[in-house]
Amino acid sequence: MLPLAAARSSDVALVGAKAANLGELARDGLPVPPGFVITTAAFRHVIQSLGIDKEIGRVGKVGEHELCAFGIRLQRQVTSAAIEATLANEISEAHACLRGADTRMLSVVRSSATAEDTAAASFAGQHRTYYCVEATDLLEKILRCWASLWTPEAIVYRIARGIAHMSVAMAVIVQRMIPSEVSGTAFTADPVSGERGHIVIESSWGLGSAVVDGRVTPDRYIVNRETLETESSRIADKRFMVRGDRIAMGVPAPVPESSRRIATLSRTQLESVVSVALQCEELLGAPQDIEWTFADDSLHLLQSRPITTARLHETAPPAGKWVLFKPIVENFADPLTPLQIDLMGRAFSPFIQAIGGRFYVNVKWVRRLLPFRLSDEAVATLLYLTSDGSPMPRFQVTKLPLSLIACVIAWLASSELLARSQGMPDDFMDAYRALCRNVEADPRVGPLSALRRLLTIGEVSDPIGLMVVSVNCLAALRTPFWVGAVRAMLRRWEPSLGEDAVAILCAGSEGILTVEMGRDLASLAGEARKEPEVTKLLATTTIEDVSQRLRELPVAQSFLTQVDAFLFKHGHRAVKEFEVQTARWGEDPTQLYALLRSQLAGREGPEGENARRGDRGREQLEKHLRSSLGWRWIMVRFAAGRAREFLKLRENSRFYHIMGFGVVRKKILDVEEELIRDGKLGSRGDIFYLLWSEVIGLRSGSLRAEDAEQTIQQRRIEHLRRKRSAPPRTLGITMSSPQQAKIDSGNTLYGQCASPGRYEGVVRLIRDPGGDTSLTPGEVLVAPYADPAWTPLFLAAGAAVVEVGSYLSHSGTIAREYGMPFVVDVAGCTQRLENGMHVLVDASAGMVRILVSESE
Amino acid sequence: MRTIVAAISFVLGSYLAARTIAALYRVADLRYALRREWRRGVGPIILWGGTAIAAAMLMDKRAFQYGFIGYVAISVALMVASRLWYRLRLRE
Repeated sequence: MLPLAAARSSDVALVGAKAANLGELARDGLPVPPGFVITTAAFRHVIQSLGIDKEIGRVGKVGEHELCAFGIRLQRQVTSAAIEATLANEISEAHACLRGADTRMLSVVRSSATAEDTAAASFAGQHRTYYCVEATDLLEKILRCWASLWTPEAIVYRIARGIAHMSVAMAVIVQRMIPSEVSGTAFTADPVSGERGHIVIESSWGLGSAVVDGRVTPDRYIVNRETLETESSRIADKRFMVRGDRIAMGVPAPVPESSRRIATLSRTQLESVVSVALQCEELLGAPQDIEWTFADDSLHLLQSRPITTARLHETAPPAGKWVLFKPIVENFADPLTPLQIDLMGRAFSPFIQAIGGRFYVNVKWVRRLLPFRLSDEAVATLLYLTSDGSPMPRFQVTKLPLSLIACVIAWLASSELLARSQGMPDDFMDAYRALCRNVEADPRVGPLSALRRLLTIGEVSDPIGLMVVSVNCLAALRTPFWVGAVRAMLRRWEPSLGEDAVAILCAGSEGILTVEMGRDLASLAGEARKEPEVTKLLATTTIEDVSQRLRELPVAQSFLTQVDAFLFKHGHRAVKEFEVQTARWGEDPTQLYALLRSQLAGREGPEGENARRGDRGREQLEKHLRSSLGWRWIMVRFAAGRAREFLKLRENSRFYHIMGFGVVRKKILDVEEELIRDGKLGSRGDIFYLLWSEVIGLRSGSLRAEDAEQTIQQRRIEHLRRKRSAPPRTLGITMSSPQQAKIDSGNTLYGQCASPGRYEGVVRLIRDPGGDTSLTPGEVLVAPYADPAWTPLFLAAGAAVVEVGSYLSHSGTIAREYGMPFVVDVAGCTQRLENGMHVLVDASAGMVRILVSESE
Repeated sequence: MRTIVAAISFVLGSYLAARTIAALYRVADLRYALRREWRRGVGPIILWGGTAIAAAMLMDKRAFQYGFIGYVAISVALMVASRLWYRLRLRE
């Protein structure tokens, strides 16, 4: 046993890195809460007395699939043991000394492993911390901290980092619990890029655990390191807080309405945090990631560790060669939640695997099946839908048999579906609504059955779910063929027209439901304009309160009827709609009101006029081609018509299968409700951080709520870390394509054309259209990605530029429909382009040029 | 020449099997709109079923039958296998 303030940096082997850092900081007078450390010597003694040291030595030899069970067995052995009397007495004495006269003192029990909180490996969230611990529970929590050395996640983390299991030991810190009013983190360097110019501080009400594991969106302050001035601050809507007092005991609770949108830190408090963070960095000799809290207006330092620059893969990626699965990432660039990955992984083929929260395609398998001499890089380029102007690959006869077999299998599997999707009435997919309603209303159908019925093979007697998914896949496969045919004919017969003509001819089909959604939204804005009070309320009220305030406004009733009609038709949509964690517009119309506010900021005019720009362009081109091509125009018109038809089918099937995701989400929420009611889950949204097998375990009782909570906390932290970094396009393949080489050339950024045209305008960077509605009509929208729920912004934007996307992306189709220049795949555009910059978007050339920056 | 006719009959048998199965499925595909779209439900059955019968009489009968029955067998096997696969993978 050692007082925390006595721990030194040379004692890492005895007290672990966390306690060593805190001890050093306490010695130098920094406000570290008092406590004591149960050293690694005690830990080793307990392990030996239990006789499990030999078994621990076997960890390295255990197969990957047995690791989980092996780790759980080790943990159970430790947690079910009793700490021998001598040590237990020593702990009780140290605890009595710490609490003094305060007999009701709550403690915090933290793990402090010898390998954690170092520059090489943070082990953030891998080991346990327990808040609000009563004296009677102290020994149990200490055992649990020791046992957390063998959580499956910690074992895998050590394997990935090449850390020997036997070399790691666990000390435990016991400190006085601080009843936090405001808590947060501070990074003395950018945690993603490592850039040293700024200090990044995040804060929220209550305990810091909610900030660290990403349960709340915290306030964010960026402070200039040289001038110590606050360069920017973002005050978030903090809906939840975790209170650390005796009444709340660490359970999340709603933040009072009056505190939700106010800054958590005063200027003085912010200065105190900055000062302490810089002192930590100076004392420990490297950029630090600190955790702090305020109680009674006094700052307390809870933790300080070196920043381990955020990387996508804390665990090593699997062997082999992989390329990002673009059809998902172009709609949703954030990492997917564990539950979403688990569910989708069950429905996907073995060619696709989740790595670091995103899906990747196995390049090796695709390369084997293509009868061409192709490098891994060429296959990756092909799969990532990047046109890099490479010459046609050479045919390879030896690969032909396997390709033919694959083709025959593909034909056998799909020819019947192909035939079924032809000649159907235009609105046949609307039957999917009825199926969704039936599945939703049937209490016997759980989330996985709903997924099977709505998004995979359906039922023999009710196969519309299969049809919607098949139509989507088959239309996606057939569209490039017809677009290619139009391109080939125009190149041969009308070479002067260029690529833009292909995009214009293949766009503008009536009946695309996402386009109708944009028009309906414009109509809704028109309805709002009829009542000045409604317009004013939408423009000025805090966006989260709009819904409630509208219901209280008598003149808004007609407008609300229109909103309800809109939600009946489009309520299953949302930004990030591909993720089951995302609330749909029907559940929470806040995003919808944010988009409406953006619409209202635009000029008043006939609804949908912007949306018809594309149609006018196509009509003019068709007129020209009809006269110049003569009879050949019939062939061009037919091919372009087919391309438009398949694009429409693809878009509309997407509209419906997102409805299916909405039903699966509702089923998951039902299960979550049941688990919360039974006290097995702590807060809403937690279920999305579990795997389905773990949800079943929780329901049946084979997984304890406490273990699930720790798993959820770890995964939330991991998810947050992944969110901060862009996913690599390839794994195991070094890309050297011209596209990649051109990315950083001066003031010009390169990407691919998704919708042709040239436009000059001012940049407006939007990361979340549901929260940020500052797009002024005519501005150039710059975004990380754009899924269909972003497309209402296209009605106001002059042009758009996104980091991830493709010609055939859903948003690309809509942009062509609107005749709006749209450049996709512009790597780093959200970093390079800033609000207020004047740029030229030459979408036809796939290029964005910075003309004047805001400062100039 | 006979081999070529047999090969064409085999491929045509497979193709028409696919179209006939698709036509039979259409009744289920249009389940929610069958009252309104009954022509689209019944039409393909008559068209593709009739074509298959006519082709069976005109082409190399044995090769056509092998193509047709072979496709039906594979289609049924694929359907059963995929249903079993998804039932196992997506079990509550």
